[in-house]
Amino acid sequence: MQIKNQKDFWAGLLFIMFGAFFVGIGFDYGFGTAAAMGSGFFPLSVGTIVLLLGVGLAAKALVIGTPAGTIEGLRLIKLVWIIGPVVVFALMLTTAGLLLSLALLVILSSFATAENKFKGILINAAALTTLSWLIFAWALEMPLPLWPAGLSG
Amino acid sequence: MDTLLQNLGIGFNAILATESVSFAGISAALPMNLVYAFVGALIGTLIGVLPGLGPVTTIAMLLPATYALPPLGGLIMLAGIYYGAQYGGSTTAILVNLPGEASSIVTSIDGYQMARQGRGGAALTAAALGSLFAGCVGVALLAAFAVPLAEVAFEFGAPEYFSLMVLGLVGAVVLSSGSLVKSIAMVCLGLLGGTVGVDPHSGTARYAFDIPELMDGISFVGVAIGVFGFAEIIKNLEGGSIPSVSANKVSSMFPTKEDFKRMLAPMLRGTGIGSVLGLLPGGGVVLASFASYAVEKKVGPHRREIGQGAIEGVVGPESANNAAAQTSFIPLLTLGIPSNPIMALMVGAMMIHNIQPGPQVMTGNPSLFWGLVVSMWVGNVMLVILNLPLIGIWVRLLTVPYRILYPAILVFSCIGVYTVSTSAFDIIIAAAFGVLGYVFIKLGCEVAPLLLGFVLGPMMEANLRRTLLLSHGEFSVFATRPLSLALLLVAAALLLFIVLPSIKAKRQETFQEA
Repeated sequence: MQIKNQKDFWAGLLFIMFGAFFVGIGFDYGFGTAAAMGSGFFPLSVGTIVLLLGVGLAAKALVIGTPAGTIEGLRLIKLVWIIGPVVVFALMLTTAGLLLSLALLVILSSFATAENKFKGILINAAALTTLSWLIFAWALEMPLPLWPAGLSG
Repeated sequence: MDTLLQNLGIGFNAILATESVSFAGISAALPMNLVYAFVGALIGTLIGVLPGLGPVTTIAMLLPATYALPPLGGLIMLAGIYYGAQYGGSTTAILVNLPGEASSIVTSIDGYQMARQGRGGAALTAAALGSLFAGCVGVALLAAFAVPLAEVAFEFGAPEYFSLMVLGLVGAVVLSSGSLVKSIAMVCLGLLGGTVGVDPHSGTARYAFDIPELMDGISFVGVAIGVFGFAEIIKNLEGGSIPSVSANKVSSMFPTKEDFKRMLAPMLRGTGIGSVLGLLPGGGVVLASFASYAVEKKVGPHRREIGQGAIEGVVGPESANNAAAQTSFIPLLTLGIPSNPIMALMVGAMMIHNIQPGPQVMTGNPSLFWGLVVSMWVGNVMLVILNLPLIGIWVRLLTVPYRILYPAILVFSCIGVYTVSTSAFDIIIAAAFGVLGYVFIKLGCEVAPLLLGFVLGPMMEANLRRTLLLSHGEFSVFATRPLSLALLLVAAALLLFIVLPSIKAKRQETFQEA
């Protein structure tokens, strides 16, 4: 069995996965009747649609292929270097404070492309941290944890 | 007509109202709403110029910041960003063949050719004038149709709202560029995502797994930023940086008399196309500009020159995208239904200020509604004045390499998401949707339908439940009520229309052009 249309096949699988997830758990919420919709009515119905669409899509992808169907240019490493620092930022924010976390965010995410040189990264980090402080904390006076927990601002 | 003038009067009053502001020790009375319109237009143009940063991400980022602003001011600024971006995108599309916005892609085809022929100035002026005209018409339509549409909306019951949302989602599917099956599935995924959290009807927590932050549902701003912001960045970084091009010299700014004559018809056509397409759910600026381009290629005495620097190819799409930007506010402000992801964000902005979008905004808060409408007209005028002299600066901005720009986008996005609910968890949501969004893009699935489904899901479920409750489980009620039937028929017609093979080919062809 050959995957003729990569994009459609994996998309189909993704839909099957999500559909199954929502349907599987949705059973616990009770379907109810049409006149008295239970909590599960909507998710189960829509989830089933997604599941069926996914099955159809994946099945068709095994049979019919088009050149536009090949996945191109997938660069997972870029994903890691963008999403990773964001997650780090989120986890660090309340403990390390905004300014440190932001600086780290800029520094880490700059590694996503080989073109960034170290000096440039540091300047960018300093500039962005200062700018963010100026705009969000000083000008807009938003409630943000600036410094690490335990240190008063 | 009298009431229209009255209403516009309310609007002008609202927008010219002065507030006493003090900054760094100096106080003055300023018409702050004009300031917000200006700031919005400026930011909008700026991000329109910069490729890789678009109005959706920016509005999502600035949404929480508008909390600090008064409701009208915040909405004015966000609206300014949206239509400002349409102006900004065309500047770089014409001068350096780097459209800052998807809606300016077609403008770059003829616009850049004109620039290379030394006629960049004429192209820019044509784009600006076309955009101004279209913007004004769009606002006029908004003003004229608001009241009658709202009256129709008051007739809407739960079945009509449900059918309208079905139409909206079908529109989003049909007017998106990818495979229909995938778009429908994406819409449905969005609907499912919207069910996460406590079900307001029964109080049961759905798909929340005892995570307290999920009880209120998945943060919409988080999803928007993840899918439109983070995923975009990852995609842009795939193939190396965006190349910078040396700008062509802009000699004479003014179009010739011949140019003016040729501009008129495409401007009118583009405005018409854009006004209609902006109105349709799922339509919007990109579709409008593409459609206008397709029309200009088929119609008009100079149609064969399209592609080689014909001014029609600039004026038409630019008018279309500006008209669409304005009219896309109509469904939101009259019916309370967002017709595209940007409008969905506007819903968010209104909710932040405790305003329930819908027809009652017009009657209950006229200065807000009409102030916003008038601000759009003022904003359009400001933009023309802004853009022509500042073009040199915009082009120079393009020299900021993307490798420095994207960390900035990340910074502002993260702060933006955090401050909506002071929740670091929302940032994690954004990150997760960044991954998901990237995967979807790679697999050829359109993400805008996902977002729309996400926003409309809870409303649809509530309306469905109410309808079925009142009709004792009879689904036929959707067809027996005339308004609801009409809406569903239009939705069905759209679906059928798209499935016809000839239209299918046309659709693919239009999207392949770019």
